[in-house]
Amino acid sequence: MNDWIWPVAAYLGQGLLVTLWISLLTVLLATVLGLLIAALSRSTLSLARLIGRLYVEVFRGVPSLMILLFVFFALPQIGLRTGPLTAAIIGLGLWGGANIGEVFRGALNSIPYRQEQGARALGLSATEALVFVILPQAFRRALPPYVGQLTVLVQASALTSVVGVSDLLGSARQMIERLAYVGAGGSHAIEIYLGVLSIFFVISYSLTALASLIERRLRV
Amino acid sequence: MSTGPAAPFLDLRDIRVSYGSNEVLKGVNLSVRQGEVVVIIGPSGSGKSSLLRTVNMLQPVTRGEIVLEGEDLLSGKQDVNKVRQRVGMVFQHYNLFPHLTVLKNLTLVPRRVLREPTAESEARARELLAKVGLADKVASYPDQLSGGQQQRVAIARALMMRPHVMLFDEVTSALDPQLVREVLNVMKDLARSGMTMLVVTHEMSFAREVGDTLVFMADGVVVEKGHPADVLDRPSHDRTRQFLSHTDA
Ligand SMILES: Nc1ncnc2c1ncn2[C@@H]1O[C@H](COP(=O)(O)OP(=O)(O)O)[C@@H](O)[C@H]1O
Ligand SMILES: [Mg+2]
Repeated sequence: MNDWIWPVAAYLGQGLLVTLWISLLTVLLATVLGLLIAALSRSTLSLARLIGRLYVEVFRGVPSLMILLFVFFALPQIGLRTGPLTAAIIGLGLWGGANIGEVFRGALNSIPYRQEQGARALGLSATEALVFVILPQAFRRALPPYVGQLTVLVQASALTSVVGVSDLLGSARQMIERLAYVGAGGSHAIEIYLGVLSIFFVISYSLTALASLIERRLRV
Repeated sequence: MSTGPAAPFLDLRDIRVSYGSNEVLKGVNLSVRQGEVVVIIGPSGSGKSSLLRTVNMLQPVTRGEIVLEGEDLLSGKQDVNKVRQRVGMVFQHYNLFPHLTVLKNLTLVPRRVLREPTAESEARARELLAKVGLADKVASYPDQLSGGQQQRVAIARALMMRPHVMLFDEVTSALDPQLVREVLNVMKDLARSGMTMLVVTHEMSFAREVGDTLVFMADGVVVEKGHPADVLDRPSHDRTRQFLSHTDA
């Protein structure tokens, strides 16, 4: 009989909500950090550029799971009691910020200096040149790789199950264990994992499709 | 100081520019009358671009004075962006904004910075585009135009600011030979309309036909200047002769 399906699906649905919530907050945090890092890289202060550089090198140089675990175990040590969910979002956000920062920085640097010079020669201030000429072009260039990073972050959210978050993957594992323990029809691991896999695929694929749609609209 | 008939419209005095310890302009003096077309020639690396960039303050100088219409540009009292609106500049690589249509390339600064009403700036843009022969390209994007068309748009865009003087830095050097003429013709019309122009170019026939004064630069100094035909046909310096022997003047 297939009467295991509906309770499992309902439980996975809750996990999916957690996954979406983690992804959303991680993306927001990573995007804000990424903008900050890109801004640092354009700073006239060499110390600011160095800080941005170091941040990127450090966080891109270590596995995301390491950062997640580090934040999860380190924050309580310095007196910050957070749940696994908060630790997961901070950890993944810090990691994603470095990658998204690189995307933004790369897009800004890909706009040739000639564009800035042309704008300044027309009498635009440095800020106006940035706002009206450089950023609109950099935004278009950044969009495809930025969405690529979003799908990476959505997928990385599955790591949070390691610190005990009941996200989509975490819920799936709990269900499989429970079904195996109950015994009746086996663990149904194949069906459940295929379901989880399809959901991740649909989310990533939709994001990518959205990106190429926007890309065509914006004349990248 | 006033801009009487005797006072020069633009006066460059002892302009010095260095990149690090490398001095590339070593005291350039140049006076330009209102409506004068000054053509600047010289070997690559002689400082022609650096000189033009000093005039619209894209290039900091280590010493010297720039007086435009009686105002000392380097006094520190001038609003750089206001000065640049009076000094139009066109570059070798057009520098059009690829994310904007031709029309928006022209109206960006008037609308966003000068706060001109859209209708007014668009009307002027269409008029200028018609003048450079591109009335039908208002809605095109730069990458849909030929190099010569893009360069004509760049000229029209600079004219949107109603500049008092125009700087042209090798604006035909990146163009296919058959496209050079259409751009030079636009510049010729502009010269006839009385625009004060500083033109860096390798087009000796343009220098001869349109220039009022020809300046030959080498190694960061003005070696020789005079009426174009005189300089081209009877150069008085070896350095000039040597340079001209490599061109088809
Ligand atoms: N941004 C720069 N940094 C360092 N050196 C430069 C820079 N721009 C130009 N130069 C040097 O200054 C000299 C004059 O250059 P430029 O004014 O471009 O000459 P031209 O336009 O006559 O070819 C050249 O030796 C060039 O290498
Ligand atoms: Mg040059």
